[in-house]
Amino acid sequence: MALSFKLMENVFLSSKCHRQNALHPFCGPLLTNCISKLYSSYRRPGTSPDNTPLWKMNFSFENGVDWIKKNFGLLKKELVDHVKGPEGRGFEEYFLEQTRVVWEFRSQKDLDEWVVSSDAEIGGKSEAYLKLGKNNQTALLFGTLSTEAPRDGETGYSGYCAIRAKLLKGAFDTKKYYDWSNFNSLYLRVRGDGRPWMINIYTDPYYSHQKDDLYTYFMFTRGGPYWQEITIPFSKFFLSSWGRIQDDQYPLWLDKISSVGFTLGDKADGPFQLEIDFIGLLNDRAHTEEFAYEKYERNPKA
Amino acid sequence: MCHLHLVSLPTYAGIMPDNQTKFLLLQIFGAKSHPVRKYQRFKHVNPYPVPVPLPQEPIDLARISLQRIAADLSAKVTVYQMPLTDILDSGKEITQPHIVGIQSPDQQELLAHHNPDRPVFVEGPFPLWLKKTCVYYYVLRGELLPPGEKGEMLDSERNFYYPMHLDLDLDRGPWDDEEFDVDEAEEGPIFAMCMAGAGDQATLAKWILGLQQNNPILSQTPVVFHLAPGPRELLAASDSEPGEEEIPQSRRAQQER
Repeated sequence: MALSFKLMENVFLSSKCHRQNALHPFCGPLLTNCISKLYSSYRRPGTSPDNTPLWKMNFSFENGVDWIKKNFGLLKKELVDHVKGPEGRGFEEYFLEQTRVVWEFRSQKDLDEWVVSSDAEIGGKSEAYLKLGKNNQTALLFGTLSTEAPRDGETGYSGYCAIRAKLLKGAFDTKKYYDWSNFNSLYLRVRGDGRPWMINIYTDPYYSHQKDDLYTYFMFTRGGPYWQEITIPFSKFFLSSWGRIQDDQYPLWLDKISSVGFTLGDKADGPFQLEIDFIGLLNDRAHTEEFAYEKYERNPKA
Repeated sequence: MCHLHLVSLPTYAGIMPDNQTKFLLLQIFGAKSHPVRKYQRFKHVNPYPVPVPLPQEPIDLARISLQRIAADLSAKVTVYQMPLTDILDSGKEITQPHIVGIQSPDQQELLAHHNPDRPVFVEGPFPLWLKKTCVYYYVLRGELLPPGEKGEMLDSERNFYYPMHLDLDLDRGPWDDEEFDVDEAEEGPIFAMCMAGAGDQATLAKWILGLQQNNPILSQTPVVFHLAPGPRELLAASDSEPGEEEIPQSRRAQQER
């Protein structure tokens, strides 16, 4: 069964913290500091690597039992959804849908799906907070940006803040992806304060040396009290890896998207705020562009 | 890799490199190189471009930013008061801050339909960023009416010969369903916006008086000021705020005479 094969695959090819300790992934949730390593392998210059041996880490039996119960529930739900149709939706919905709401912010549970980060992690002075807006109908991301670089001898620039959706997890912490192949644009209803944001889409590529590649595009907010509806076709997203825009551009593949993020880094010190009503997908039939950038080889070696 | 370092941050910063940078790039790296191509691609990507260079004078700055946030090309900008520094005979200095307001015909119509028994709120200051300058604006808005109280504005049976209200989008056909299955966040209607040199109640009251000339309904509506000492989030809490004061318009107008 496809599910058991995926399970085996993820058991042996799991994330870095498991590899580090050569542990069976079933003990994953019993360790407390694994989650941050899933998102980035950055270590602040000057700190020593974290090499605590296995017998010093905290184990908790109660957490383990809860985890097992939760995951069997998820497994049952997945099996039922597999029978219903792709991703638990019926076939009619899958073939005929033109719009889909992926993230809406109506409760604290919706906010928990997002991770907020700022350059405080590298020692900078920006702050960023995420909370529910008025009447629990929107999410408000606010804070202060400070471009003062941390004095650790290595970092040259600073001043960013970002929010990223958590990676989807299936039963027993298997990796799951969003499949957006029915759609061709991203639709956002936001209210900003005039600052330009960048939208990043993280995909999960087949080769691991492509794992830091990122598709980005800009989101320019108008500011003001009126809501702004932004539609960005996926053909406009350009490829960048480790922060550098690549010379050879490829279009974004929509069938294995792991998460989406927003970043602010416009080098203007001061407070910022962004309100998001919902994030959805749109299949714009009038949009026929496949890719906005040149796909041929730049600077060919003759 | 150093040239990538040079060019990568400005591109991500939302600040477009100017002609001087382009010339330098061309000289150093040649016409086909990576940084030059990057510059060429993202020059016209901003749908709401900020004029460069940004005017320093507060009235022009206010005019540009109000036109940007109004989102309506038919909105009219009115300067209610010019900045003035006066020295009286007694040696006391009076400074008058500038007040620039904007209102579009749609907003005027909404205000005309507003029920004068319900108060209108002046909220602010809200921040607005233009490249690297932050300006503050104030908003005159009404409450969100519960669905039962919203008046039925158009009677659909008034005229059988042709529809009084037509909502056709001729670009798209009826086979395209681009509605999202979500209740959008609703808020009270916005009647006008303004930017002022000082954020105190007296200045904003002058703005309301100025608005009264085109919107006579404001003379009968109570105006509540929700002013925060510093910039605040765009979502005004509907609970009591420290800067709240309710003054019925007519009583205040009598006091000023």
